[in-house]
Amino acid sequence: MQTKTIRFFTNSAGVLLLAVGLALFMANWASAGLTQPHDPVLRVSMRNLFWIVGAIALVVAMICLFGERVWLKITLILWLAVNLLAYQIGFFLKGGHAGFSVYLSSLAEAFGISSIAAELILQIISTYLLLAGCGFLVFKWLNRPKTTRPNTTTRPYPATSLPMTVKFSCINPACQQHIVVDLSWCGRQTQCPACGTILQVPTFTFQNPK
Amino acid sequence: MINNYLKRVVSSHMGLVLMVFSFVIGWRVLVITCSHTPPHWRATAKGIGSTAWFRDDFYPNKDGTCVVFSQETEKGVGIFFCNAGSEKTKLLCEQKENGYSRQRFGMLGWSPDDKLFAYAVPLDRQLNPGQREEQIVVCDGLSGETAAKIPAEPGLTQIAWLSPQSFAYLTYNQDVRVWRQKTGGSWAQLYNYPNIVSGKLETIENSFTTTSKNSVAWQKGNEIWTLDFSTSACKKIWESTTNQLEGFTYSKETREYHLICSDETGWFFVDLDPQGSVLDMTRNGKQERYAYLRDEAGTNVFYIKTKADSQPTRVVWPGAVEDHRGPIGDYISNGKYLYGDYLFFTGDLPGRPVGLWRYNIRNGISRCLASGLKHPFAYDRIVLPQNGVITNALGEQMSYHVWEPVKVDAGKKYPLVITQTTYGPNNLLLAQEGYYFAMVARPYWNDKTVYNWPADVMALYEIMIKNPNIDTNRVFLFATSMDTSFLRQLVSEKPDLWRGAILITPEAVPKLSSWHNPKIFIVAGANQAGEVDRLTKFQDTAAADLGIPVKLVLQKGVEHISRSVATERARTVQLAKFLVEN
Repeated sequence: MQTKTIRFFTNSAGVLLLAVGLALFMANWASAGLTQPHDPVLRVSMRNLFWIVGAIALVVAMICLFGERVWLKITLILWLAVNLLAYQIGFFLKGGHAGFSVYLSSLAEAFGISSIAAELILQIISTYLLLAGCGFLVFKWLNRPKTTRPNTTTRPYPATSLPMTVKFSCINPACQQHIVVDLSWCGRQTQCPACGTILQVPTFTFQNPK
Repeated sequence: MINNYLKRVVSSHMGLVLMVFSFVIGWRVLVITCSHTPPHWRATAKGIGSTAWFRDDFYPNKDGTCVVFSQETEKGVGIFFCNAGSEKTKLLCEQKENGYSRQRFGMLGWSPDDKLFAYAVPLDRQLNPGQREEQIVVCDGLSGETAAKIPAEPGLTQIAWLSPQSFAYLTYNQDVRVWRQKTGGSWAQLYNYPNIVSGKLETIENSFTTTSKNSVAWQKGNEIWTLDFSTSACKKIWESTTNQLEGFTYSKETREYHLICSDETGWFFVDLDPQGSVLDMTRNGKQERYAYLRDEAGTNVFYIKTKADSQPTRVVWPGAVEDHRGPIGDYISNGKYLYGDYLFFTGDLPGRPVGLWRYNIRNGISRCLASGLKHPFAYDRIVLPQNGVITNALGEQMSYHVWEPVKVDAGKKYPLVITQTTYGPNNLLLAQEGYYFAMVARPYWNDKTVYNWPADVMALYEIMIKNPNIDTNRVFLFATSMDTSFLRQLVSEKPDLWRGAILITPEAVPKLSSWHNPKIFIVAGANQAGEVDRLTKFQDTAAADLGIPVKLVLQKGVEHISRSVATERARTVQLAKFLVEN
């Protein structure tokens, strides 16, 4: 259930970021030929800012939708959301008297909405990404596997000529993802990166050659 | 493993991605199809904006049978040769728009026997920064074929044919060179007078004139200088101290200089003998040949006089006539050219693109020698202007023109764009996009009365708002170049009247602090020194301090004046987009 919620979040973030990235690109194409104002924080043209943010949003969206590492997905979403928050703080500190909506006029015109509506939509998306990202990151941290670190003195395998990794397959018959983990994870629980099934990493015993 | 991965992607997330793509693109398509109400607005704008405008002056030969003219091409400006008899137009050379202003590009006139004509072009080789090697190209007067290419000094401004086989030219630094055709047909330099008069030419009026086979005269500011090649004597024969020398001609028959001067009370004429002594001075022009254009209640009327003792012929031209200022030739008033039995001018007829016209004074038939468009306007319905007369607050009377939208529904309100005289296809464009376009018809931009721009526009505004079809909440001001400073003044005085402003290559930008959320459209060339910084700063300030989104179009490679069809088309499309969005 928890895995499904996280998956829903990363997928929804991917969809939203994909939509935002595409919308920013479309806004630039729709306003081709027009000179855009410079944003007051980074002092770059809004056109260039749209290209940069749009490209980043698309990359993060692709990782969210097609990547395998849940930690990476959540971290990237959070990184993006924090950057957006930092930008907003910077804009506020720079004295953005007239609000940010004017800078979104090309985006708003491309999609037939008001600049204020465009700003509101982006605010909702960034807030969702920030809050949910923080929540899931904390949740993941709290629910990390709690198995004790294997004692090196009682380890079940020999100290010399050791294999460094363990390969096994997901027990979910519909998945059967090949998984490679560090040897130190033997006996501990992990999550299939593909389907999210909780798995027990198999243990191995070795006999010292005599 | 890869197969599994691909299967998974295609079955789940790829579908999601496609869905998002479809949603975003679908939304955009929906906006495009629903928001722009005038059908084919972009095609209309492209069609109207593709007009190739005529630039600078045109040079007919004495008989008016051939003409050399300058017209925009897709990427720049070309010099064309047209033989009216064979109806063939030939492109002689072309200059790209980018870097145009740093190059000399001009037509240098016909030889006395009309067998040759010349034009100057810069070569690619750069001598010093901003200074290119130039070349005079001499062409056959019947076919337009190149007859000779002669190297010229940088800064060449004017040429004067001394005889059918020799000419002199003058540079901006007042170097005078004389070239003569040798018996074998090749050309050689005969005289060279570097910096014959100290200082540079203060005006680039085309005044360099042949006064005999061995002498020339030219205007330098308010002075007239002569140079005799046989004695190498160079002297100043006239200097205006209390008035402005506007130009002069020289009559070889009477051996008199005819000067046109102006002061605060108007124009006056001075006749000089070759030594510079005043023979006559009068306030009444005594031209024997002229073509004078007058605006009579919004209608263009030519008064043409070809003989000293005849009455002028009145010719009504139903379209617009472009204002040309150029050499004072055979004589002209307001730059309209009389050659032989023909009057040459550029202008249009209602609903037709601008063209180079030749009016036959004898039979009254006008003929378009070159058109600004190869095909009629696309999706265009002809809108004839309604003309009238207004009296402004200063008590001046003048004509005005109003073009209404192509389709006006009773009870529906339409936006209005209001301006003083502008040239270009704006009337057609605005009418197509559902706007009223009202224009005060001040004849010439360099007229001192141009300073009455705000009074003129306000007088017309008062008339226009009485029209029940005009949406008084959507009245836009329109101004180009130096007129934008008057627009700024009017906006500062009455900010509540205007919904926005359209500024073309503005010299000044409006003050926005007291203007509530205006819609501003600005188009300018990005090659103008300081222009990009000035306008982007204005845009940034408007956005940051007032939250006003200024539509700014900075065209790369373009100077203050646009000089290509591509630039004009891009401008027109952006303006049309602004119009349909507002």
